[in-house]
Amino acid sequence: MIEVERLSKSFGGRPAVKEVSFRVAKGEILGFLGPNGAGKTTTMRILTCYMPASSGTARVAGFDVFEQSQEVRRRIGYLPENPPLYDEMTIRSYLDFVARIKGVPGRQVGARIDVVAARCGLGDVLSRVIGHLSRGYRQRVGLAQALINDPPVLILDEPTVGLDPAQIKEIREVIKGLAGEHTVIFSTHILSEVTAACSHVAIINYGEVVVSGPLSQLAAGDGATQRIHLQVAREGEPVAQTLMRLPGVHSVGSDGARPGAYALTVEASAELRERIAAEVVARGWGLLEMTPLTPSLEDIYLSLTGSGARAAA
Amino acid sequence: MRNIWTIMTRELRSYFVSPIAYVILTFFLFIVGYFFLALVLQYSEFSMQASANPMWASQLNLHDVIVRNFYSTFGVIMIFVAPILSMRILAEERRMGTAELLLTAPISTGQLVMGKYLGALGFAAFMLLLTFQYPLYLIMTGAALEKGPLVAVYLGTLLMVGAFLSAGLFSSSLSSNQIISAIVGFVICLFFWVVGFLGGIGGGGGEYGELLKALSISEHYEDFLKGVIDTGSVVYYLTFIAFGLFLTQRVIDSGRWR
Repeated sequence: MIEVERLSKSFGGRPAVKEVSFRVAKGEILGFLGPNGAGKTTTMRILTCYMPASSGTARVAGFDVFEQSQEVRRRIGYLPENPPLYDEMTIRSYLDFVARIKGVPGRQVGARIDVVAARCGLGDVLSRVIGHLSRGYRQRVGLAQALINDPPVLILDEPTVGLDPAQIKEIREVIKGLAGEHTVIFSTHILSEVTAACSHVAIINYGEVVVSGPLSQLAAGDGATQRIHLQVAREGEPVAQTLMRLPGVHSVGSDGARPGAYALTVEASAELRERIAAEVVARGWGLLEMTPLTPSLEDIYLSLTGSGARAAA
Repeated sequence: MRNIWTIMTRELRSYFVSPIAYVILTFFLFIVGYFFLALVLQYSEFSMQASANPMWASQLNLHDVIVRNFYSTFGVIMIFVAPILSMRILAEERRMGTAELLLTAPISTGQLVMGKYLGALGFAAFMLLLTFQYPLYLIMTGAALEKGPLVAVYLGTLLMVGAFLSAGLFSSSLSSNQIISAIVGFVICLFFWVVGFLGGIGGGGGEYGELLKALSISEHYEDFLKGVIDTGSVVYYLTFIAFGLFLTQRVIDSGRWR
């Protein structure tokens, strides 16, 4: 549905996005993850035809964002970082305006407003003036605006920023509800958002996509080795020496300060794990716990975007 | 067409909910009302004097003394008012981030500019309509006010205000700061109002003097005020407006490239 190839954009010689490529298939929710200033907003602005790229191509629903801009715009609902609201209008008249400039036929405008209002929890506040709304409601109106013409593609720039936890949850539920019929890209610098709502993730840093793919695949790591957490009851046993002798075990170290806790790096195979377990039991060390560790998105994110200080997670 | 209409009606409605519009309307009506009163008193003084001098009486007419001077003043007031009306049109959109909505909506930049312009023009036309009460007072007293020249005056005034607003819209596209937009718009309007003055010095400034006069908003306005609809002047204003809108569209589109 969305194909981005070698997209670059620089502002006055300063590159903001460098050769970014990724794809989003129909019905997927892509979490666009990166520290502040990594190039998320710029990429989204190019996709929504707000600004052209310096080089590279981007296609939405098969239409080029530059050559067939009007076709693309008809198919995208866009929520910018700051919801584009007119403070002096009521929610209803605002949504009416947006529906009309987005080409919703006049007769269907009223019905569409009711649908998106219900979806975004605005049903009983439609006649309120936007300037008097709280941050959470403004964000909802922004989302309603993006959904008004029922576009197949939604691009949401930090839709949950500045909201309280309950509001974040609500917005996230709305976004999750869009999967399947809509293709969604939403940017965030909050990791838990991505794990909670997305099927796919693209991590961007300093204008470059450092990794992208399905969330499940990323979490599995490179697939060749895996880490195992082992907890035995008896202390002072020669666990490390014994287990290192097994073929396929790369390293054994103590895991944290707890006695009897070990961290193993081993070849990823169920057979090997079985042998380790059998060995521990046979020696009578008292196997309490054995858990394969999958790297959390946080680990991937921090290792890819550099220092933890930069990544305001 | 539908997009232009949608943008236009929203723009027009936003004038009527903004406090600036009401402040402008109040002071505007106060000033033009005051001026109308002064002109009527002046006319009655002229009539008194004319009653003693039949030669003069034949030259005295309502249109020249009241309507012409009244709308000439209207033009001067508009040099100040039009940039204030137009300053927020695009500057505010940029500042509030709503430009991002308009520029990613499936409408062309031309439709956007046209809709915005017509919205502002609609409000200015409303102001002009409010001033129609003054000639109406004259007509209601049974005074011999000719209707034909009045039509020319209104057409000319609308075109002139249209030119001001076109310049104002252009200056609004240049910045996200309304004050800067208003000042730039004011300077452009004032410049085109006075640019012909040089052409009239020393019995005419030759070819260049004529050129300056031809560029002047006020020189062309004079024709209409006299009650003449000159095709050349109509074309002048329409060209001025179209050029302003064209530049605005270019500025918006070039903004995408930065």
